[in-house]
Amino acid sequence: MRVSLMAVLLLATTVAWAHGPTRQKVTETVNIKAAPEAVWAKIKDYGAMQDWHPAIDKTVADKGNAVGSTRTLTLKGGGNVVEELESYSDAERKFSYRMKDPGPVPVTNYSSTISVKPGEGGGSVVEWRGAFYRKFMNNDPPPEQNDEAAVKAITGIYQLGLGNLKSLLEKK
Amino acid sequence: MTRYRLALTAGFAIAWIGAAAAAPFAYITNQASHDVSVIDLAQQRVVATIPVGRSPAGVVVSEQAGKAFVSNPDSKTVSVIDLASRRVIDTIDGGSGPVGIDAAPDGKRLYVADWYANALLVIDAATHRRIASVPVGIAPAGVAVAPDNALIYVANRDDDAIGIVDAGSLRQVATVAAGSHPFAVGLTPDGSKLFALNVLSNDVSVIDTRTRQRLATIGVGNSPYGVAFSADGRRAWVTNQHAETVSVIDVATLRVVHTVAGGAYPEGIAVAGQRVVVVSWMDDCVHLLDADSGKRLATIDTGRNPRGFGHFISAQ
Repeated sequence: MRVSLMAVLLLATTVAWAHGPTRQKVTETVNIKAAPEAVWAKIKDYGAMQDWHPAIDKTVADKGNAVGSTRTLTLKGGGNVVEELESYSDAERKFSYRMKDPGPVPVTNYSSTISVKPGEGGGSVVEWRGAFYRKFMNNDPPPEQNDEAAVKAITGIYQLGLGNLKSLLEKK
Repeated sequence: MTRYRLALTAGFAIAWIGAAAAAPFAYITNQASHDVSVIDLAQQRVVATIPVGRSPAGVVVSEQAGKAFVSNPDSKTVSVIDLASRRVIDTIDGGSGPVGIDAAPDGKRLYVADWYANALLVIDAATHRRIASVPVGIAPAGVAVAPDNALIYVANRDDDAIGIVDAGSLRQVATVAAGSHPFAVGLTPDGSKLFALNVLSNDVSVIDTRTRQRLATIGVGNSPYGVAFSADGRRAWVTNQHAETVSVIDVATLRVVHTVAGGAYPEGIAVAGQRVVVVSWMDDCVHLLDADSGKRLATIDTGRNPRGFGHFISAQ
């Protein structure tokens, strides 16, 4: 009990923007047998992530696909994640956003870009990449808040989403 | 005929430079592969990979000392690399979390920001012994030593301020307000102006080092992270990490004159003659840009998650 209280106090003293620990990154890609326009159409709505990501129950975005739009993702497993749109390009089929509140995701200062590019044989390549710090911003993190836990969580989110996107678009 | 002769002359010149152990070199810290890539900028290739401590971030080459110093935040040490042999010759206690690092221009001292201890470590660059741990502000990050070795500027990030440490008294003698979360700092070659890069307010605070007043605030791209100056001090280059651009600033007017492509998550930056070296953290490489046009000339692969946070260029 005393230990967890101390952990909470330590977290409270560091703002959600620290650089003491080491920034981590994850990049996941998937090849989809569907035209880039079709794939982009499925993911382009920043305010409708539940359309393609199976972990999301509901998305509410306050300014649609406009830069600065804040979306709240309600997770099926419980909890909310709040993100802000940093850049958006229909022409390049990509957008970038950063997390303002990671909710239950064990990361800090997370930013991400998702893009659709032409692949082989008229198909598409979707790339989802993220940069982030672990949740615990001081030295000597507990295992559930260390670098490995953060990388594992983000990798899991990307693989689940991209795998589902592929099955949705390749389904006949 | 003239063209042929020119080409022949150019060919000889290139061969000669190559034979004379071409300079300069870039020492790039790779945070995920725990090593330093030494890049020959003339040959545009990695000529050595030096294992260091865990998660190296900060780097400074001191040709006066004949060494490069690298901060390893996750092993809480500083690795000392001998420039001649390109080997680690010593490992120094780096306090609780060493980040930014700079050497005095005379090569006598090393200064290291100790992130968790809110201190500036002062280390003898010859003996590698710690001289002092000077209390500064909260979450010190970037460090810059004045050309006359007398003052050290440190970005006290969570205070939104720059601390000024006196090298003689070993005390923080003044602070100057910056923008939101200054991380990197850079001095013009003559030491007259300090650029503090504010990661959260997306701007650069320019401070007159004589009056210690803010001269200007220059808006740049999202998340400015690294700064470098041309040798003549006329131009500054700033990497914007989230915007993935480089802002080119005219130092006389303190205005952004160009914005060029910076690669994915550009971080450390340095100028080597006509080339600007930009570290791309996301793509595990450095890009070489032409200093006049900003055009990308070459891309060289590094280790994983390169940072190059500091003065990473060496003539040898």
